[in-house]
Amino acid sequence: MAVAEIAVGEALARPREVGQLELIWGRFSRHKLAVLGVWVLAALFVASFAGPLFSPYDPEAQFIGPIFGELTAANPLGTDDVGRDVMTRLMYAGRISLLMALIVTLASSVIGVVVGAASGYFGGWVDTLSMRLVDFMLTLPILPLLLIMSAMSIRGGLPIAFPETLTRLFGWIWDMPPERAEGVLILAVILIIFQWQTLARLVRGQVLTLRSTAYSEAAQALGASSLHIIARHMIPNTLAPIIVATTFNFGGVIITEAALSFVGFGVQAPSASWGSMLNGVRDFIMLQPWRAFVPGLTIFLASMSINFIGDALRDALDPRLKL
Amino acid sequence: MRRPGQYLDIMTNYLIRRLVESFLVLVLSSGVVFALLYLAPGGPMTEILEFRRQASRYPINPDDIERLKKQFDLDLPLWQAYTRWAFGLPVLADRPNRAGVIRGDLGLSWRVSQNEPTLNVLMRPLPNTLVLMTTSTLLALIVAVPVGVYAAVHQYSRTDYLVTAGTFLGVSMPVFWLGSMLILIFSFQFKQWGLPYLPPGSAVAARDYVVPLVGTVEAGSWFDRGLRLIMPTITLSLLQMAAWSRFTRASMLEVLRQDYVRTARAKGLHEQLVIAKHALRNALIPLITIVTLALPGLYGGAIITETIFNYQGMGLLFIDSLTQSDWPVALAYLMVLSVLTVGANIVADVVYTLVDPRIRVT
Repeated sequence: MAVAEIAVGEALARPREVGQLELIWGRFSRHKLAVLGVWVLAALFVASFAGPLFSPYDPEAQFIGPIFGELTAANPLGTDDVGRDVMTRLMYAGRISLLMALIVTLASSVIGVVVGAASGYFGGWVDTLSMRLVDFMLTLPILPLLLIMSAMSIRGGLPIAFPETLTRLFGWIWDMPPERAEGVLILAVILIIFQWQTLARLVRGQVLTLRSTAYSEAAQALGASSLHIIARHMIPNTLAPIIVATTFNFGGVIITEAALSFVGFGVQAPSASWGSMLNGVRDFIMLQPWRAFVPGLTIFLASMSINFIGDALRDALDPRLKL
Repeated sequence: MRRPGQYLDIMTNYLIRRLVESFLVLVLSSGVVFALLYLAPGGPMTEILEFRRQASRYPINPDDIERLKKQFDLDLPLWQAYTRWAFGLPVLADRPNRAGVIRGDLGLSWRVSQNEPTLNVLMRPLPNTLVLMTTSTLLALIVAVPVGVYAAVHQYSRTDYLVTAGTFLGVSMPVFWLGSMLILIFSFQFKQWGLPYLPPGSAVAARDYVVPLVGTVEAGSWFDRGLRLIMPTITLSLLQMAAWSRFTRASMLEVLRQDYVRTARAKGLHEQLVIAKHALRNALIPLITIVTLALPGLYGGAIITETIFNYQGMGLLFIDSLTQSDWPVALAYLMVLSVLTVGANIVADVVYTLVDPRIRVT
């Protein structure tokens, strides 16, 4: 009896602790579609990065099969206009599309957070200057400008020098010579230039409200440095909207890159991204439109999964945040 | 006390300020793009020289290069080239005068339509793009508003969830894939099944064609143009359709919670009247802004849509100008878009104060 009583008493005194992450996961997993989205996205990542290891073909080797070969066991998605294996190319294209979108999203988030936090925290001319720049860049027509800059870079008009180790690394991941990897990285930089503004604005707004909170003033009174306050108090407290915005940006970048590649000003042949594979079948769309189905489907699945995940994250991370 | 007519003064001042600001923004943005294109190594001259080399079998003599550079103002320092392009100043003795963009002179096209004034080149596909933009905006509104209102009135119903899922689908859909799939189904499969199919590609047919169950369609007739407009319209409007129905739903939900709606219901008004007259009219006010601000996006989005369907509009012209490095045409396209963007911003703000007296400009 006594033993049982003590056990019950202890259990009552110390309720099972629910960690922050567990709480977030609990709220997140209530969105069935978002959980599905996580699986779909994970599948796309695994297929793109691990899949090529199991493919017997080189993505750029021509005349592996017949021109416009039918779907067979050897070429599950057929072969394209020069007899390359579509399945293999699709997986390599996924490496480019997904990894590039990831780089662009993360880099633009870092820039956006730094600019936004500095702007909101310091105010004054830093704020005026950076927010004017953001306002200005947001009035620019982004898609045509991306197209122009990309068209220039294709003709060698944007000389950006990357460290050789970087181009070698990405060349290795994407299975292409470093010079071509450099072209893809330049495209990434162009996308970054137009991607950080909304996040900067968002973070600035959050930091402005946080600056007048008691704990931030207390930290200031205790003599904490600006960097410390921004890094330890401001940014952690704006993390929820940052993560949500970053997630949605990721989907947006995938679509933008695909759109650029689709009209011929993105990833250049013979390398392929999902968008440029769609571009590749465009000339034959009146003859065999079904060939456009698969590369577009991957883009659609990726962007849809990310949108569902972003929506669920918004609910899970910060219940106050509502659209 | 506000004297009568004072608000008009405030409005005038506001408009003047906005116009000046917009003008500065336009100068700045066109300057940035101009500089980009001007400074690009391997830019205009290489392209021109290469083109001349292809065009004639004779070697180019250096005088020709000088003459060409002069003709396109490429020998001037950047700022002079820009001011001549934008304002036609300074006037130089050794070359023909330019009126500048500000007086409607956008220069001569380099390659898309060689030596033709860019303005003319730009005006040719304008009607096609305007038609496409208009039909897309209308279609998006016709679908989005009723759907959004219905979803809001029946919040958390099965239809509401369906609408929410649909908007997600619409926002995530890559338009270029949607366009391809429309062609696959309505042009390709329908034709194979012997059903009345939609002709893919181009704004006008080159020759008459036969559509099953409909008969012969005369090339260039209104019916032909209409048929060819259907798929591009759906493609271009999908994103706006999704966004606007989501917005209408949110706005409607907001209004339905207001006191005056409750008052109207308490008076015993018929629910449909409450929704149509009291709620909807107020819920649509913010939509005006959204629609106005979306117009530049539609114009820009037409680049992709027109490419998919090979629809001869301004977006396709822009892509052509980029492929052929015809910078004057590309610049001119961007200027139209910039003016549209800046103009839409002003119009949206002003219209907003006109329809909603609670909001005043300062």
